[in-house]
Amino acid sequence: MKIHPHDDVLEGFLLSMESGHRAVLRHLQGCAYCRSRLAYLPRAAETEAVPGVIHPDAGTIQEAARAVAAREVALERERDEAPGLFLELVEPPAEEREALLGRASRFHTWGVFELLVERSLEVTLKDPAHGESLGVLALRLADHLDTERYGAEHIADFRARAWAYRGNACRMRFDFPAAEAAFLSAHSLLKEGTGDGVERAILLDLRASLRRAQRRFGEALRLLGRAVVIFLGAGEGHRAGRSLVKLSTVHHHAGNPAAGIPLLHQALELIDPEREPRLLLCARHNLIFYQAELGRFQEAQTLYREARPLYRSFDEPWVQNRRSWVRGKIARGLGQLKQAEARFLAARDGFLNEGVPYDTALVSLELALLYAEQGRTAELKRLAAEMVPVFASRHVHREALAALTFLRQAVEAERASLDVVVRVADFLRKSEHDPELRFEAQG
Amino acid sequence: MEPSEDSPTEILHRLSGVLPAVFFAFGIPREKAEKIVETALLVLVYKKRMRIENPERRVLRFIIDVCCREAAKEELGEDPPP
Repeated sequence: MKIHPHDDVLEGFLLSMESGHRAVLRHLQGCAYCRSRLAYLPRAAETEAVPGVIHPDAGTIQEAARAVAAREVALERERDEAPGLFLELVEPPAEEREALLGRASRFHTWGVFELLVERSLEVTLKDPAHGESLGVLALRLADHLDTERYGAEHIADFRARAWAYRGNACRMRFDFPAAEAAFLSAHSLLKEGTGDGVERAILLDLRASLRRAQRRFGEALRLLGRAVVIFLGAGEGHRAGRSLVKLSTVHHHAGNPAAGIPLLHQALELIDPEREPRLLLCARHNLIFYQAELGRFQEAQTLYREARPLYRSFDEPWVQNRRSWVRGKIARGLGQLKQAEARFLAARDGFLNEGVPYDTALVSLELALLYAEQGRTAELKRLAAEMVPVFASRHVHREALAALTFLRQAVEAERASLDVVVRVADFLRKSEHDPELRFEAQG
Repeated sequence: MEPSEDSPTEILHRLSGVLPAVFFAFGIPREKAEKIVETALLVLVYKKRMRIENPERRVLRFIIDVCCREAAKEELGEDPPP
């Protein structure tokens, strides 16, 4: 060996070994006799064949490298042309796009395909239905791609990704059976793909989101654990960090925010802030939020102060409303009740403007708790009366509306204890991700 | 023009020390090894826009994973060596 391998390479090599092989390696490190035996043990025919496989001077490898380089140049050209073609493809009404795609071969390129797949994920965050339609278009395009040119296994990898993103969009629309079916399609396609572990980890990570939404927390944790291991093994620390943030949210949804805290610390070491500053914000915000939920208000306050510049760099309602909310929680915990009320009101109004019913409900209930604790029955009645019509006019699950109605009636009858408010808040938190959950008026 | 630090050729060069040991350890024959290397490099090229964090490690991981599967298949007798 002419070059000493890098630490990562050595680590990768060690990780690849089964425990039995690792034991042999450890023995070899300390046994000169066995090391010397290695020099003559493998037969000549076997050893000669191997170095030629990867030696950069070997003709076959130079040829392979040239072929790969040529493919790279061709793909770069397609990537340059893709944004223009993408716009041309998505400009017409949705029902005309597939026909256009079918008759115009200029769209049948890897560049357009991967752009459609990427956009389907990005768009899904704000508009799942639109994201899904782009994913469907990507899958239609895949049918037209030249398998000789691009390689069937590489196309299969990306088709699997398109299905996985589509499944994610379905999950976000609460269409869980469709999400399940899409993930199954993705899984099948990966068997026809290159065998890229990272692709599998991406699918595991997205399926975990479905399991979390279905409140199948054990499965979600297991899937995410596998994704993290694969990402780390492939040197994809940032992606591993993202899965760790998701793992922490599973613990939170399962009612155990304490378990999420060490995972968030680990994630913060892996996340690349330049690559995805929003993910960094999510991790830090969740850390503050969980600390506050656990009653560790001083820690939460310290973390919040450190994160202030990051919050400021996201001057958008989605972030600022959540910032107000967590500041309200901290203020309430530290006994700064006026500040807490002001922050909760700001968050509630912000969520109302944003059109986010569940978060509006949850922050309203924090406010309700504050009023109930202070015996401010008049404000509690007004708040409860304001909540129900807001939710009745939006797409809130029937059971969630029932819970809020129950709270309003209890408040009006002056029967609303702190327990009732806490129980309704707990129900709403769970029902956000589980439309089938039923509210029981009797605790 | 010099190849960039993370060009497929450069990555291959950097891994040239460890790959023979990997293929030997898993008993992968030459032709199959060539195909695995080429596929691994093409995965990098096709997924370039995914912002691959550590291309060298990613290629090595890919190769090791494929080798593991090949070795497992051989153990099960599904794909006996020629």
